[in-house]
Amino acid sequence: MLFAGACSTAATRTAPFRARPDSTEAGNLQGPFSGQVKDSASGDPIPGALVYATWTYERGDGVSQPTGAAEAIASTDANGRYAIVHPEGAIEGRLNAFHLVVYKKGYVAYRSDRRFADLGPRFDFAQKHNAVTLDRWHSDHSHVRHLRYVGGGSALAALTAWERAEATAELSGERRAANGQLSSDLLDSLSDGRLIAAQLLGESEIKDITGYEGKFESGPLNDEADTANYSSQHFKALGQPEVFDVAIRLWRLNEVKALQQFTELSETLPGVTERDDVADKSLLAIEGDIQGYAFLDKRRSLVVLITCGKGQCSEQSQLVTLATKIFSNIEAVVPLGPR
Amino acid sequence: MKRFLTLLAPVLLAATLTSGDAIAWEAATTHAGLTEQSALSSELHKRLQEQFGNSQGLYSMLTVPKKDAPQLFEIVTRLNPTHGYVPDASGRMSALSWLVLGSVVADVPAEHAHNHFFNPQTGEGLKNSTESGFTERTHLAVLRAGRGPSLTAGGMSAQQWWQAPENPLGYAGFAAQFRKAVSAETPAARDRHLAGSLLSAGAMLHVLQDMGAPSRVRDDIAAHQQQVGSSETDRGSRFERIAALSFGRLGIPQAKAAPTLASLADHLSNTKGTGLADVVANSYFSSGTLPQPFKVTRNTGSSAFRASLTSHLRRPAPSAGSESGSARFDLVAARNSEGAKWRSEDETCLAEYRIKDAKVTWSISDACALEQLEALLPTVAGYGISFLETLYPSDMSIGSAADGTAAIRFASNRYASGTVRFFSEANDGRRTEFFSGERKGGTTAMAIPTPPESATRITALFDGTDTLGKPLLATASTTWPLP
Repeated sequence: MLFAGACSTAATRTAPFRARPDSTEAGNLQGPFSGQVKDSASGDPIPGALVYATWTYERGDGVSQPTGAAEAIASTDANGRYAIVHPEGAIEGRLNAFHLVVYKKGYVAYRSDRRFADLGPRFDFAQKHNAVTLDRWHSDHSHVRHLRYVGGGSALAALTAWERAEATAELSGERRAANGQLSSDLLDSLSDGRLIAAQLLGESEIKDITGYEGKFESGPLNDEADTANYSSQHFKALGQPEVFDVAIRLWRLNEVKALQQFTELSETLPGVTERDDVADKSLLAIEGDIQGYAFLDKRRSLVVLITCGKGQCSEQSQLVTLATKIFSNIEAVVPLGPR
Repeated sequence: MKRFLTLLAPVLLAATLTSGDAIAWEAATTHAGLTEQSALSSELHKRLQEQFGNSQGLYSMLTVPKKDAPQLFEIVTRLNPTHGYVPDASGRMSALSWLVLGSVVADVPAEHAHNHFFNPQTGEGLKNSTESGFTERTHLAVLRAGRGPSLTAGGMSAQQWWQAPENPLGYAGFAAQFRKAVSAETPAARDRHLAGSLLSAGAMLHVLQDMGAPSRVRDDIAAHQQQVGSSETDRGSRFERIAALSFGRLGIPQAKAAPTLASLADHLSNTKGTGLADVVANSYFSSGTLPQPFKVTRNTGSSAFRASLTSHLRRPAPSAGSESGSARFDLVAARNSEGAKWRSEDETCLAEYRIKDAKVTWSISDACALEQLEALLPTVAGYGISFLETLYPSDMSIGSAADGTAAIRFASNRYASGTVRFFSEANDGRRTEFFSGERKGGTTAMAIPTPPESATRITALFDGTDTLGKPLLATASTTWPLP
């Protein structure tokens, strides 16, 4: 009888997180899990973020032994929502822990157990209706710290492979000046994929400026794939014609090539008017119902082109305001020391 | 920070120490975090780049085919990938991850964990100085039946375990892999063996890290049989569980500088008392080696209290100190319901004491343990830095001699006799040995014969002993012709 009793204890440890954000009831390590991922600055849902869930199983007394792990991979839908269930199949041992990691390039990742900022324990994770806010990646952030924070798993390793070169350089002392200021090497390294078009503008920022009330579906443009030097983001207005769409193209180049790119835009875009509203050089271009605004940021060697149809940007000033917003977001994400 | 963590401890414990079995100094979190902190703060990144030619250093991707290490991969399939030390399907992950994996799997199988104890007083491992009585032991045995591995007294000392042939991830394994990481013909084979050497280095580091837990260096098995949850079968080290809950893998504090230590073994224990086991055993109590209770009266003064305490210590250190020393005992506060704290010179809580019914009793609360961990973990990570830099030394280099020929230099006097092998590397990365010579003690430089014409890089491997007679491996590498 004693032996039978000894074997009958629960095989699941109590979860260190709540069942829902508004409850004090402990959650269930087994799941299911659900939540929504949003941009912390704009509050916009983030579609297409990787959601990586793992369960840890152990056994032992005085010395624990791993007996297995389960993993589930999902991505957020158009509204930034995710749903995760434990994969089928029993695993030997006691269910000891659950971890959730959310990763989207251009943002700081999220872990259910720890915060990135101070690596302290996270207390706001909830099993259901979990609210995840992702901070946009900032060039002051450390890739060494971020890789350590993200952890592993094949899917995450593939997505963060580009960060290894950054982390290598950082550990070798090649990218950061001793005083923490950005070095010229770091600015040059923007082409390593540090800044992407998705970081430049959020859905709600567009709506705040244009007054649009409908929904967008966002993702890269189809015309040209993202490369080390180029990145795009398309805000497709759902159920609306193309004139309601907004698109951003970002070129990350060296100083000479950035100037060449901007010059090429000024020579090839239709109806170009030179402007001096945003950054070092800017221009406005118009063709039919589509208008575009491009600017050159010499110190960061960036060129940005935003296009907005007249259904969305009914006034030219709205397009200029969108471009101004993008530039201020760039300044926040890639700050520079004094000139 | 200290206050924050102190407040945090009861919350965490209340939330999670509620069911399930016990856990030791947690491999998945505490050991992994300590290893990451040590490695990232050490020169290992640079040494992997310069000595092993892995340009991405700690982030170099190294592959170990599953067929080469089936037992390891059998263990790996049971680990949770979220902490970053599980290789992908092809057996590939970063150098840093291989090192961390070593520190995670050192407890597997569980029998190995019995060898992670060292008592500097006796030079032995875990015996049974604080083993509970027959009735309690029988009770525990019944509870544990059929519940997986459990910790029992016995096993080798941690120092013996590092060198033991039975230890697959000990020094012998490390040395064999290190040699091949330098001497193997192809880059893929060298990478594979470098991963193997890092794996063993991580496992050895795990054993060193364990010396940071007072119960492991004070022969205290009872501290590993505490009930840590609501279930009676939930047994283990409460101290080590608090570390896992409070700091996890990511929250391990930054490393603190360690003293200069001459050899690997010295990191664990040495005659100067500066090894990690020496320092921890002499500076902290564990729950099972606290002072014994003793009687006091209303009239007992500070001196008498100190004298009684000294005679009731189970070990000479930590000592009660002298009247002029920093240790203060507040006998008025000790009579309150919360008792008083005995603090070390750096104000860390050593133990709590309370006087009730004319008797002093001693304990270590969760908050007190948390203070100790805040002080201990950076120290442990600091020893880890020094340990890794000793395993992968950089005091041997290749350069030009005065006459313009190539020479290998020994920048420290710890090198004794040994063999120096020289390898040339062709454009396709293939290495061949082109010379081997004996180094005599006291030699500061050795001439390097001209390598084959196809050489684009030359690498040297010293395989011998240090002046203490301990095994010593070192490598140096440079492009050819010399820059």
